[in-house]
Amino acid sequence: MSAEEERFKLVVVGGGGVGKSALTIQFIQSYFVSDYDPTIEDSYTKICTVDGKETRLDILDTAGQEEFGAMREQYMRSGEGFLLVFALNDRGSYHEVQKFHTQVLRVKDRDDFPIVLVGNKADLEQQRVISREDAQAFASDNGIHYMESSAKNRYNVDESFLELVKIIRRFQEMESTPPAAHHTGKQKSGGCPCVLL
Amino acid sequence: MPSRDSYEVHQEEKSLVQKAKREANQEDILAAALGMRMGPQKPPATFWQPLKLFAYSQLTSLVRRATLKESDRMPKSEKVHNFKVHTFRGPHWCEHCASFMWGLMAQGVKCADCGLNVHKQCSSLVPNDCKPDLRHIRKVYSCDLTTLVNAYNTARPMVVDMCIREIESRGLKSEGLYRISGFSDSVEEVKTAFDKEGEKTDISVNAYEDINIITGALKLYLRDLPVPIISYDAYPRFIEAAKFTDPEKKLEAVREALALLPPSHSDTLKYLMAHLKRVTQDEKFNLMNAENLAIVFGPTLMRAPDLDAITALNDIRYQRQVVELLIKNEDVLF
Repeated sequence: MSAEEERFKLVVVGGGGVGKSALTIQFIQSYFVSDYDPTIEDSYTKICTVDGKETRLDILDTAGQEEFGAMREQYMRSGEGFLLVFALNDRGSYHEVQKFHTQVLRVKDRDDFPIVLVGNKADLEQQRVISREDAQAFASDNGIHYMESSAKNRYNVDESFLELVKIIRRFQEMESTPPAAHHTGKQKSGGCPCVLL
Repeated sequence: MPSRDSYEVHQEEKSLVQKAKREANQEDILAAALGMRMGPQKPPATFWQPLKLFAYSQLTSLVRRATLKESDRMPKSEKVHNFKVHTFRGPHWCEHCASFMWGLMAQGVKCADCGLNVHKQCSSLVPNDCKPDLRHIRKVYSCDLTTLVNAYNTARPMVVDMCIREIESRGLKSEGLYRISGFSDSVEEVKTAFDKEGEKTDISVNAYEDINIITGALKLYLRDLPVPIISYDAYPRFIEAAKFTDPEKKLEAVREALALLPPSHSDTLKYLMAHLKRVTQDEKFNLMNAENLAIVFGPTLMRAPDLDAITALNDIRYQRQVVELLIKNEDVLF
C-alpha cells in the first residue's frame, strides 16, 4: 500500500431489528440509541487507527427489511467488507444472515470475501436461542470470523469493526499480489481468513 | 427487481395498446363487415386492418360479434385479458373470429384469468371484458388484486384477511411487529401454500410459530401485487399530497387521491390501515408507532410508476409521510 490515505467501505447488513444501527452508532458516537425507528439507509465516516495505521472508514448502515431489497445489490457491489449482524435471541435473523452471506458472495462472485459474522444482543443472555457453538460452526465452515457483541453494553463493538478492517487489509494484500500463481494456490488455502480463528 | 419492473412496463404498454385498439376495434369491424369506411378519420391502420380481417373470411361471425358488441356496449368492470401463448390439444376454434386455429403447437393464446381462447392476431382485437374464472386463477400471490377479488367474490384478498385475523388473534404485543423479518424460506412456504391451497392454508401457531413469518407473508403479498395498493395512476397524487405543509390541505389532498383508487384497492387499504392503527395502540409493547410502521409499509404499499432510481429514492420520504398520515387518520379518511 502506498503512502496515500487508506480508505475502506464497510457495510452493515442483517435482518430487521437486530441492532445494526445500534452497533454502528455505538462504534461511531459511543452511545446506545434507545429509539426504535427502522433505518432506510445511513452512512457514517470515522477515522481510526488499526495496527498503528490510520484508516478512514465509510460505514453504510442499511435497512434490514425485505422491502428495501432493491437497494441491496447496489451496496453489496460497492462494499469492501461486510458486518453480518444477527440477534442472538432471534432465530429468524440467524437464518436471514446466512442468506445475506450467500448473497454477498454471489454479488461479489467469489468464494470468500472479508466478512465478520456478529451475534448481537449478547446482554440478553437469558433469551438466547442461538448457541455460540452453532454460530461458530457456521462461521468456520464458511471461513469467516465470528464475534458476539452487545451494542447496549459496548461489548465487542469496536473489536468487530476493527477485526473487519484487519481482514480487509489481509484480503486486499493477497489480491494485489496475484502474479505468483503457483504460489497463491498454496497461500489461499493457508492464508485465507479462516486460519486466523 | 428487474422482473417486476419489466412486468410493469409490459403491463402499461399492453393496457395502452389495448385501449387504443378497443376504440378502433368496433368501427373497424363494422367497416369490415359493411365493406366501407366509417368516420372522418382515415389513418393507414383502419385501412389495412379490415384487409387483415377479410383474410380470415369470417364475415358472418364478425357481423354477429359487431352487433353483439353494439348492444352491450357499457363496459362494466373493464379488465384487460391476460393472454399467454398456449398449445391446444385437439382442434380448437378461435372464440373471437370463429375460424380454426391451425398448427400443432402454440396455435393461439389463452387468457390466464378467464380462459378465452383466441388467435394471437385476434387477441389485440378482443375487448377488455375479462371476467376472471376461479378455475383459471392458479395463483394468489402476484395476481392482480381486482382479478382475485372478482374471482373469489370477496371484498378483500384472502391473504390480507387471513393474515390480519391470525396476527390479531395472537395479540399485537410482539416487539418489532412488522419490522423484524421472519425467516425468508418460511415466508416463501406460506406464499406457496396460499398459491396452492388458497383459503385452506394453515397459518396457525401450530404451523408457523413465529409471528414475523405471518407479517412477512402479508408484506410479501402486498409487494408482489402487479399493481400496488396505491395504484400507479394515483401514486403521483399521493406524493403531491405529502408535499403540502398545511395539515388540513394535506389531509384533503390525500382524501382526493384516495378517491382515485379502484374499489378493491381502497377497501383493502382501509382494512389494513384500521389494523395498523390497532398495532400502534400497543406501542408500549411492540414499539411500533405510526412512523415506524410507515417506514416499513411505505415501499410495501407504494411504488413509483417510473423506474428512475433517483426519484424513487427521493420519494421514499414522501411515501413514509403518506402512510403515516393514512394510519393516523384512518378513522376520518375512509
